[in-house]
Amino acid sequence: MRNYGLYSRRITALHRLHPVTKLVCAVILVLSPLLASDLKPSASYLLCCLVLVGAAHGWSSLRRLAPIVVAMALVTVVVWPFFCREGRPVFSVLGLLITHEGFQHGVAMACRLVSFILVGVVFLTVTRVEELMTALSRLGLPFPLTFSLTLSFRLAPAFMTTIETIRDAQRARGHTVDKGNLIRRAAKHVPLIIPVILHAIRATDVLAMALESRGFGKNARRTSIVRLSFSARDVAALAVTMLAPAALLAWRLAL
Amino acid sequence: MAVSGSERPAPGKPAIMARGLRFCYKDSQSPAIDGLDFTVKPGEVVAIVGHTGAGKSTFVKCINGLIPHFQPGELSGLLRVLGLDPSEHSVADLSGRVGIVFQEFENQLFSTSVEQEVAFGPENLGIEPEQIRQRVSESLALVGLSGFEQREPAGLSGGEKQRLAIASVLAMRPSLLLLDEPTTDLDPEARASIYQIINSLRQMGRSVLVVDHQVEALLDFDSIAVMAKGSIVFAGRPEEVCAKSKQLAQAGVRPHQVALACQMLNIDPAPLAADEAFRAINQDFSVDLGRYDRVLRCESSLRVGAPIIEVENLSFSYVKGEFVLHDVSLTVAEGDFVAIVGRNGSGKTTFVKHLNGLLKPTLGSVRFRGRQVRELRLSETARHIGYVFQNPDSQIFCETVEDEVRFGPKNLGYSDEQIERFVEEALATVKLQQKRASDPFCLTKGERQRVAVASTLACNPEVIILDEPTTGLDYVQEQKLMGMLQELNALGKTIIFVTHSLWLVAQYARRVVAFCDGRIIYDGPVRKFFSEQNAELVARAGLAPPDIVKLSHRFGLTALSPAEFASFFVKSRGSARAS
Repeated sequence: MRNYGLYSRRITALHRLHPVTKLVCAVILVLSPLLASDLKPSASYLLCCLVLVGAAHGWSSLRRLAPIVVAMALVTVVVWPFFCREGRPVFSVLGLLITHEGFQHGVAMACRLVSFILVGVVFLTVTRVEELMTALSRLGLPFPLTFSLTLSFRLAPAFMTTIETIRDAQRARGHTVDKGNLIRRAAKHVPLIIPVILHAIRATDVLAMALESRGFGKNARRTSIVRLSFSARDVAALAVTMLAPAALLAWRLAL
Repeated sequence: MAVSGSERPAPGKPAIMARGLRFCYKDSQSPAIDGLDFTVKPGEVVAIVGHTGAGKSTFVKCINGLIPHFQPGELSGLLRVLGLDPSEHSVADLSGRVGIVFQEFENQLFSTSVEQEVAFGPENLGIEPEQIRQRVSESLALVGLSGFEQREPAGLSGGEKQRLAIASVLAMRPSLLLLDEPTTDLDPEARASIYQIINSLRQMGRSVLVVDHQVEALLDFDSIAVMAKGSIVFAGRPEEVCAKSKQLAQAGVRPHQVALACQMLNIDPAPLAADEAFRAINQDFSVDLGRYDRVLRCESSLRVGAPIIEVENLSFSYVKGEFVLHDVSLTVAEGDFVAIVGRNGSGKTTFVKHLNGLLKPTLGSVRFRGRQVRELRLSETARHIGYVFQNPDSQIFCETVEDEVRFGPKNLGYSDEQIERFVEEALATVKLQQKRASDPFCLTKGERQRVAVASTLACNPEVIILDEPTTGLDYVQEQKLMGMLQELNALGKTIIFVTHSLWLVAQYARRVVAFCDGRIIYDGPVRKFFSEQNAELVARAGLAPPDIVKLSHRFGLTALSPAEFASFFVKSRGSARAS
């Protein structure tokens, strides 16, 4: 069966964590790599993140994002060395020296960047949008705000289908976007953008009416069927997660 | 004042009572509802039918307070819903008592699992989680979606989505349920399942108001109200309403086929049930076999043109290994008028998207006049094969109708002179010359659909493919559109259309291609498709023949429309003497 979001229905130990735990862990894991700037710790961290993806059964989510992840990593590796002026020169391109250290630094940056993405992938693989919403509510955010924050995740699948249909509808009338110079190409997106925006406006209108009609915004204490319980598992998860910044910090101080 | 969901209406208090209701949208000159009187007693199941723009949806929105709270305008007259004035309560406050399901099932689902979707409403009402879980399983059982709890709503079929939308409203236990054209996009089987749900609700004593286009499905209802131009023109028990074929047609509603045929034979009062109709016709009429034979002979002598599109052993999969089309072969001849039918998800749209190259075959080939479509650029196929999408709003983007129609031929690089000629001809064909300077977004749905057809016609294609072209159109608009396709066909254009409306197929198409699970299970003349010996096959495709076809089977005939049915009968001599 086709999966529309990143959430995986194969329940793992990570799925069973309290959503607030998941959110806190994710934030810690996203921030931790800022403690490492060298290649070895960054690469080790990336490996740990890959293990995490495995633990979450997130390979299929990752595969869907693979083109973007690879492209971002490559751009980082290629571009970063140009900004690093120190170290042992390796070769020069267009009069700019590429150094061994610069190259290493580029790879390290790419490792960190990919780590960020992997943590995000793992989080979305093991967390339902409704759980994220509950977590944010537990952290004190009002429900209408948390609902709006998660709305884009909810609507993305239907929206993608619409964009595809609109593109096909214009293609069937001989419309192509890949001809001409940059400005002409940009102008050629108008027949796509206008129907997409109008669709979005109409869809939002129906959505808003559907939400109101289902009691959204009623001044009652809102309940939730998301089952939440803090357990020893959560404490363990938080403890293990704290090891990440601790290890990176130790590594940094040891060097 | 807040109202709680568990409160029941006092017995005897009408579920809906409107007296002289009037509403005018902000920035609109004319009222959408004008002097509307209407009552639904508690526990009644009532339908409103009428032309598009009659004000049906506007009225429904007044009932649960979306008007005037959400869509502002000028509201006057009396409206009481379960004894309350909706304009004095917020929509959310009323939501525990009045449930509403919209036509666009896509945009009213927003959760990541079926269970969460159904729980959303009760959660907002602040109901205890244990109780919500119970309500979720009850509601899902009622709409036949038990076991779907963990599925993603986005991955459901159209019918399942609409049933989910209903369940998610039922879980709030409303005393009154409003369904605004709940079956528009659904195949006949899914449509029947929605009416089954309504029937269960009726047995549970809930009040239900349904807006619909087709009277055939409404015969079990307590009453039907016909709306036109903002007010109720007549209402009554289903048999009373269906007897008024002429007035129904005038109000933009397709008349009940059996009743219409009987009226054409001057049988008064016209029966609705097939049994009674059979008896009444048998009594006074006999079949004009000579005429029937002439019609059959005339059809079999129709000339078939040269092949224009040839599909050979086409298989297709979106996801590797999961085929949605299996080994499909089909030859379309020049001048054909083909209807493509089948369930939602049977592969109809996927199939027609291969004909102009929007999709490329995974296996097999599609040829247009001998040339492989996969090797042609889409901008080249567009000169020969036009494709009209189901929703005209998927393509309309220009500020005037004329510009919209000009877009296609301009892309295809025709000369200015040619473009102007094609645009003129296209506008004339769809009869929109008067509206050439109008903003397409200000037109009605029927007109926008005609703009979409014109913009395809202006590319001067030999073949026109239409994907469910009559979705959201009323009877008058449907007839106009199909009549236009008939004219184009007579001018030599090959027409291929996908549809769920079998009466359209029977009345307008010449050839039927039926899909079931990604395979073609029937390809042949329309009359043969609807013949009695193919009944089992039609059912296998998830379809049911129109009532008039079924009635004609009883006489050993296959009639495709009420008018044709009536033409096959003559007054029997015995009865002529008696009269």
